[in-house]
Amino acid sequence: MNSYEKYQVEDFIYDDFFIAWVLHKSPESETFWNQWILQHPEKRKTITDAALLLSSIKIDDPAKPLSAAEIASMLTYVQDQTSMPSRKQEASTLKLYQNTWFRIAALIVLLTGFALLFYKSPAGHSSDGYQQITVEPDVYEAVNNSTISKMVRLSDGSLALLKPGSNLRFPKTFSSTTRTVYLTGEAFFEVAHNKEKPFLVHSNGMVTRVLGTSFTVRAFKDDAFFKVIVNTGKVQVYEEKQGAAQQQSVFLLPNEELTFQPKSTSFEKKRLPKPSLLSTDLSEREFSFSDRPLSEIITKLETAYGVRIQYDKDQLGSTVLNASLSDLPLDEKVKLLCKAINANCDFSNGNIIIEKEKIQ
Amino acid sequence: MDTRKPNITAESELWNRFRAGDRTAYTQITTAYINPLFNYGYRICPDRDFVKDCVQEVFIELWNRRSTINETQSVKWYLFKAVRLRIFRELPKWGRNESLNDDYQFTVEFNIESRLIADLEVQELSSKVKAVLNGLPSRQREIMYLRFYEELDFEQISEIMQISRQSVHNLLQKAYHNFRGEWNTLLLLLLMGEAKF
Repeated sequence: MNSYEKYQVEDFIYDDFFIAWVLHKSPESETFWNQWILQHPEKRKTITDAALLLSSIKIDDPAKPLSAAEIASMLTYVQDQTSMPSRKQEASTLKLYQNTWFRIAALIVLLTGFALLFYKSPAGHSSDGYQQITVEPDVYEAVNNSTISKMVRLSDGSLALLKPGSNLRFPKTFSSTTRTVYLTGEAFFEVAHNKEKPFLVHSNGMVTRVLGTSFTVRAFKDDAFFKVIVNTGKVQVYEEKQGAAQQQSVFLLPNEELTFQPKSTSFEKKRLPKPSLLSTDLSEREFSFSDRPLSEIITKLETAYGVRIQYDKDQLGSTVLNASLSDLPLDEKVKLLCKAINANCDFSNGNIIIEKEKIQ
Repeated sequence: MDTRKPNITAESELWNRFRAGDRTAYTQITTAYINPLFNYGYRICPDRDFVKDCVQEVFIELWNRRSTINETQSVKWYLFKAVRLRIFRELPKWGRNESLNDDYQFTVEFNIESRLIADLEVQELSSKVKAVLNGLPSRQREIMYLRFYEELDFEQISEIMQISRQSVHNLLQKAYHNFRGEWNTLLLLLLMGEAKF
């Protein structure tokens, strides 16, 4: 039994039963304490002081509580995951893929003059220096040791064009709240629009956060700097350890470039001198083709994206096409072309291959 | 369901039904606790998406483990403990290095309700005291939060924070002694103010 007679203010305020009385005023505690005070009138002041102290401590409401939409989406996800998990997960991935790609604005900045790090294909690896390996259950790593960009397709329909000497770690399926990837090196991203799920690129201690847009991130280990160039949409860049809410984060708009020097922790933002071919203003014009040969269209794509597209130029190059490709991400552009010429496209191993079926 | 003052009998019935596999009970529990858990988690790590992920995973794990959970455990402290553990476990995977111990930040702002006090001197004093409270180290702030906002008891707090009951007590003693002088004066003035009404 607590010897409440000996208690001072500081003892009462840490006593569970006393606190329960002050905060909850349950019938039992009311009875007890009121009677106790009557029996110990000399402690009345002590008790009042303690009660006053306890009841005047107030705590703020946290900033930005969960919205109704966020709650609904989280609870739905939880419901899905706790009933027939494997099947439900597949279904939701499919749904995402179908709805989002056509809203992507595709724009690439040509990094003219950047130093390409040439890697020789190490002996014993895959023949063209590119591999996609499973590093953990459901986590992949795409490694590009070749001399050309490789295309990586992500579970929500987003694309990463991985430059030589770069690698990208990404989950097989994105979680329900974020789409997070880890990049070393350089890549161009075309991100499917999804307001509910920000796309986060972690690289070298920096985070580039987007909702749906296209941009390039450059963060080689040996670089003294970190660079992001935006083509369409808007991105937010911040230091990983600071978190997104920090004042230090920078927002980038199309045709802007951000360089971050880790040594001086300074952000430098500039406008690009020449907007890229893939920027919203130019892409409509640049990627609308009327009566153009396939070879010209493919060359345009290769130049704009900095990729190589493999196809039989002799067989297919002179096919004339009308095509309007501006709003599509690269893989959808290629698929559309394939459809137009009745060919198949193959995106395995990061390559882009157009193959016409042999006529029997 | 007001999770701050849960009706003990109703809640333990809900808990038992959930443990038996009742989906409705499970839904009620998750709906009721999603906000408090998010608010608590966010104070430990102010990364919205990360905390949302953790809360979701805790709920999923809760369902998966329903048959092994003890009957006598309180829903609230079980969930709070799970969220805290998960946050600290997952932080390194998200590229952060906060350790489980003293380095972490616990974001909470204390206020002294002094709006009824007309006296300028008392107002000044309460902001001094507020500053002391808000200057407490993270652990002590977290304890204060769990005690006064979430109204968990010290036993539960020590479980959630994985520290001994005695440590909780000692930490609070330290906190109290930090502002003891100020408190006494403030109380005096508050009481004088009270007497006017």
